Amino acid sequence: MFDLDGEIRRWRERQERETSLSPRELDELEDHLRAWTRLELEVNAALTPPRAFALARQALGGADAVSREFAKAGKPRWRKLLLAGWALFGASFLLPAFYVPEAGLGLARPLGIEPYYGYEVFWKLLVADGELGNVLAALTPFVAMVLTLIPLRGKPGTRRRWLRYALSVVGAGGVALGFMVPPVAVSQAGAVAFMQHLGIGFWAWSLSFVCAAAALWIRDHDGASATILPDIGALQ
Amino acid sequence: MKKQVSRELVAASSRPMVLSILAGGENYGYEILKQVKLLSGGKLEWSDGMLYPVLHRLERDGVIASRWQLTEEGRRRKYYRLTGRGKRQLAADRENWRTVHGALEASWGGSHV
Repeated sequence: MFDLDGEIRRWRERQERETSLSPRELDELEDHLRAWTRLELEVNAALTPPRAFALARQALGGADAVSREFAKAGKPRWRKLLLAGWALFGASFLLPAFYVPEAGLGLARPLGIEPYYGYEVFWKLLVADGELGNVLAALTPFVAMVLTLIPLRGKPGTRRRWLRYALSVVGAGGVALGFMVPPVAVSQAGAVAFMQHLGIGFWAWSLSFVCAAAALWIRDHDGASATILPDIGALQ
Repeated sequence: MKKQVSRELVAASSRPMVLSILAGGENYGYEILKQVKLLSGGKLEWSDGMLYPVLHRLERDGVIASRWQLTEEGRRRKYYRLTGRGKRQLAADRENWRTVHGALEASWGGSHV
């Protein structure tokens, strides 16, 4: 006897192996196959269930054809967000991360400020006074960002949920810290001006993690198999 | 033998076609495909695999929206509907296609091409 559920399961397993379609996209194609098979059987009495399913599968196309069609739809929004995160991360190394009062002028009313660029901060963390510095602090954010490249291959899922959380904590923590740091009074040419401790590079660095975390979250949310919330009214 | 519309024209007309069908109410992939075949008398040959990427692109553009719902058999099905932006897009598309159609009709008028 023909087992449509079994056939659909085997078809789905094959798509999972041979295409990069997300579980949610496969949910939709699975429904299409079922609707095609059921309705064709209703309108064509001469058709057998195995033949109807074979025709439905044929109409949908092979794994290659389906992948090609989905690729034409363009890059999903999470990829653009991840790209923005990486652009900000890269830019943060070339922008002033901190403004530090000039040495010897005192912190209360410094007479000048000196910008520290992202790459300088990174290098100072990595190499302190000619010796190996805080390697963990210097490399951990870097490694976390590199790990965001892994989802570019493979399927959406919740396996890397920890990475989403880690990136969110770093990003949100950075932004919160940025708002908590008070401005420092700086005197320039006899007039008192106010300048934040933190430069645009710091904000770019923090926001890069927020973007990367959001990208991974959207990817897993959009790609995961569809869940349908129960109708609360019907339950009451 | 039925003459099929070229692939380029099928692709160009895919957005107004989907938007027009959804202007008639919420619908799902397979039914949209059936409607396309019905409306075109089978001359607009959409492959089944082509429809869903088109729907996803339109959804990303914000002209249609979707929701998952359970069917009578208790299975998940994604329904699409027109958004406010989609209605405006459909009005613009309709105007553009009428302009193209009118221009072609005028250029062919009496020439029996």
